[in-house]
Amino acid sequence: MFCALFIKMVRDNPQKMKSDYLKKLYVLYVFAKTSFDDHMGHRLRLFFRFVMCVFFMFVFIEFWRLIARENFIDLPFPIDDVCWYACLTQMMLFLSPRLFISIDQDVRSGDISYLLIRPISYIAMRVSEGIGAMSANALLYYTAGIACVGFYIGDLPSTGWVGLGTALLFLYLGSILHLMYQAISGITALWLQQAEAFYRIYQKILIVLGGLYMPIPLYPDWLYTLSKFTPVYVMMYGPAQFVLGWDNGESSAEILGLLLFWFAVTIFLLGWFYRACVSRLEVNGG
Amino acid sequence: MSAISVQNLSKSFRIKKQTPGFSGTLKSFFKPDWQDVTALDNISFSIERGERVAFIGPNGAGKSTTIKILSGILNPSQGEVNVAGLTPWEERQRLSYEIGTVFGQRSQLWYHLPARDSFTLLASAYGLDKDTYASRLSQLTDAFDIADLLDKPVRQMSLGQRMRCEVVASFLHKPAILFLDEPTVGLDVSAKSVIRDLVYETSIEDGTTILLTSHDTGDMERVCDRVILIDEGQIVIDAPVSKLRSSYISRKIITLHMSVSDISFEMQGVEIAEKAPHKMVLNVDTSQQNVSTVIEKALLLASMRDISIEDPPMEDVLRSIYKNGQG
Repeated sequence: MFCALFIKMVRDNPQKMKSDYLKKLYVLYVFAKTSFDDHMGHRLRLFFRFVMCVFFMFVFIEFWRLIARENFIDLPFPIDDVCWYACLTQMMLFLSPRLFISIDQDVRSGDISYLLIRPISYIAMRVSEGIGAMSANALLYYTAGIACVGFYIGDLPSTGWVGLGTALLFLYLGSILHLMYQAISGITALWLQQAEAFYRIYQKILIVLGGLYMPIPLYPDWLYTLSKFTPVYVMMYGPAQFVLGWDNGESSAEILGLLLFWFAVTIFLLGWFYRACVSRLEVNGG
Repeated sequence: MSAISVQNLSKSFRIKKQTPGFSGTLKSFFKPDWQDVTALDNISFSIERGERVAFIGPNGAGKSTTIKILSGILNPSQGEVNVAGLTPWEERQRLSYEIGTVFGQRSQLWYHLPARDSFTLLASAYGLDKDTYASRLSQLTDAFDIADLLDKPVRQMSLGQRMRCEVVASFLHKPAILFLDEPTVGLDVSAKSVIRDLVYETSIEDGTTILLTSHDTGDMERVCDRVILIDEGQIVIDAPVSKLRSSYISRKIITLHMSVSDISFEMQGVEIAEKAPHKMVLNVDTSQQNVSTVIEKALLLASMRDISIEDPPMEDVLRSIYKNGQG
């Protein structure tokens, strides 16, 4: 209610908004909303991406069921919980748009010429757009996606709706952090003229240390410890572990604290790296 | 105070030199050889408020680099620049309220959304209140005749329609200075003409300072009052557009429409550029021959239905300036 009133007030008369910070926040909201509308307009793209995600989730469910059936490892969690975990981590990968490619294309095409000279930070704008597109994805994945997974597994995780709801909330926040790291990868294009190489390295770290394929407590101790000291821990394992019914999980407060810490570090890193790269910018095309 | 002031501006790019072949690739990998390329070499100029200036030159002359420095996208290697009282690369966000840009081959509109959504987005970014935005959009919609395009997705527009919307997007926040970098590139003749006229009229109405780069001399002649010609990073000519012809061309084109089918015409300093039954086009070097003498001789040879005297096209003027490298 308060948010809606704030948005209406700023939209109708931005000059009355005294705080520059709030004005900028409103502009970022408009960028996110436009991106949300744009993303929702691509129904086929949205649908096919969703179908791919569901397909991968089903593959992982069968994969873990096979492991449990053949007793390959001694699982400290109920098998249905591990299936839910695998689906949520998979969902996290599909939730975010490929922001680093948008930034890379801006640099390659030279469109960045337009975007840099707006009264709003280019990188904040791109991250906001990413959040808008991600929210469109979340609308579909958090409803139809969860319904598909629930139907296929046949039950809720042992932590129930509360565990699932908490996991989805933190997954959304973790995905915003993931967008920021995508933005950092994208910015390398300002310097190296391509963002792919840097992103691939980051993505491998996310997949391995984030615990895409298996909950990281199943890793060797040293790898589990290493993961805890990286931001990818709160992007993937941290949120998804709320569906694992065991006693050694992290609490919501711990994950929230870690998220806030990594947001602060990442925003600082993003700002510093952006300024450094922008000063080296050479715009393509004359 | 000038709208734009540039003092001793230079810009160099560092590019990697690579010798061909496998050994060259290996050598470049372990010990890259860098070379400095000068895009702008100590240029100075100033533009007064409301002036419309064309910034022209051959490819690689430094036009776009200048515009990108003036709009705060690139940092210069050295020199002082003041645009609307601000140093562009240091105060980019503050400057963005004062300037608008149109880059001919780039787009600031959302490809899949109607143009109106992009305008609304830009209005929010520039902090326009609801009423100001509505009246400004209505004014520009009428001026640029885009009422039918407002709710059409950008991807479904022709290039000419899209460019009209691009220019509207740039004028939306009523910038004091507008940079146009090849705004008519790729457009057909009528779309070019529409864009030129609209930019000219809107700039007159709003008192906008215009800095335009183009390879199309029509853009320069229709929109601008003054021309700065740049070549190899240096200013070659800075003059009013009208003076460019008189000062830098010593040629006139005389077209004769004769009552007879053909005449034999020979005269020092006169070339026959085109010949057809009842028509002859003469290219006169005015440093060698007076126009009046040429016409007198033609009238002695045959009676004329019509005679016209024209300046050569601006393209020829510029070609001659580039070729001679004269200042």
